[in-house]
Amino acid sequence: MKRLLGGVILATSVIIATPGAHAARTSAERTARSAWFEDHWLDLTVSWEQATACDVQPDLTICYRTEAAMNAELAAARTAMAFTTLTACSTSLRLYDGTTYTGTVLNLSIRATVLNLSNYGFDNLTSSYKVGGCDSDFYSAANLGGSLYTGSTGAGSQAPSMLSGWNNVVSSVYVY
Amino acid sequence: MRVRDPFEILAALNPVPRLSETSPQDDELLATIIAKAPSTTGKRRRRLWVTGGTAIAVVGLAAFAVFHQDSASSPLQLTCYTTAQQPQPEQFGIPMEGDPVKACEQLWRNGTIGDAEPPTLTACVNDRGIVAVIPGDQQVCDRLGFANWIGALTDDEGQMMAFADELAATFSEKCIIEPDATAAAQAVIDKYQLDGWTIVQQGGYTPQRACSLAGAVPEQHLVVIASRRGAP
Repeated sequence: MKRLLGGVILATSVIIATPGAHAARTSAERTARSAWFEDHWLDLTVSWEQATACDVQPDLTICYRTEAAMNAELAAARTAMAFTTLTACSTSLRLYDGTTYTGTVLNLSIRATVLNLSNYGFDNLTSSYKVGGCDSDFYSAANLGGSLYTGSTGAGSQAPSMLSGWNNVVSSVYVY
Repeated sequence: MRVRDPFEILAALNPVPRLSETSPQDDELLATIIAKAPSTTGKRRRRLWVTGGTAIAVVGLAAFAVFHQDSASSPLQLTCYTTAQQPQPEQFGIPMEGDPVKACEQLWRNGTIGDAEPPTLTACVNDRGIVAVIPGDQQVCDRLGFANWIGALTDDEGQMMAFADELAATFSEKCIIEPDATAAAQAVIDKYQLDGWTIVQQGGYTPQRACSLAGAVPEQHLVVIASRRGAP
């Protein structure tokens, strides 16, 4: 893990605080003509729309309405990165064979790993669940394939039964 | 690792527990043998055969014990059983560690499993090919139809764990969008010089899930890519 943690150190970001800063904007044009803004892509050479600050990284540029919003997002991202490189979640995801948290139980705390439930003899058995301290995704097929479960599976959420059509369907999960 | 009584280990090597059972035919066979007149001729030769046969049986049992050990097909996952039974009423899937017994013992000690000191635990390879640490002595694996775990991670398994870590880190450190994801995964595969691996792109990208995650599935020589939570 030491090597892995070492790799988490953030690359220095080039931050453009205002669209009017000519020198900075010239730099942005060189490194990132396209940028992600809220829910769509911007062509920065055409318009910044309502964006006033952008975080330019080697692979991706993300723009925000305000500089404060950008700073808050970057701080949250740093925290998340430090967290996701740990391989075990502090509290595990609990999958139950029966509804209302009954029956046999599979506790999973392995993070950032493709978890095929057949490895635990728990394929197509989940009828209720409690998510631990880490967001999780459920899939209907092995290897994160098939459909993504659309019920609430964020950290701390739980459900005494599955959404319609999902009882005894989950085949693989991913814990963030 | 616990230090075990050598006689207990030898007893655990018996791969045929039914040898100790008796059947109605046993008495009949014994009576037939007793009814025959004892022969003195060839006694020495028979003793030789018995001695040789016993030696072969012992060697065979020892070989069976050695060959009945196995390594895991998926070195990334470890499961801690709460009881020595199959199917398991409750199990804990945790990341693999160099000493899986110690890792599961920790769950017993901190109260996650049970509310007492950990019992004797043994590392097996279950029928799904992952290491399962089960309450019981060395015989418990065989009783449940599992192999005993080989006892240590191989160099290849260690390398596989490093690969899986790096793959996951590569995709969590930054937002890798769908068009770039396969190349990014291939770069990590190439770095570790893994032959015969394939990449599967599961998709699922939306504006709310515009970035990618990637995970290794060693038992299938597969790297899975899918969309992950959060906009970039």
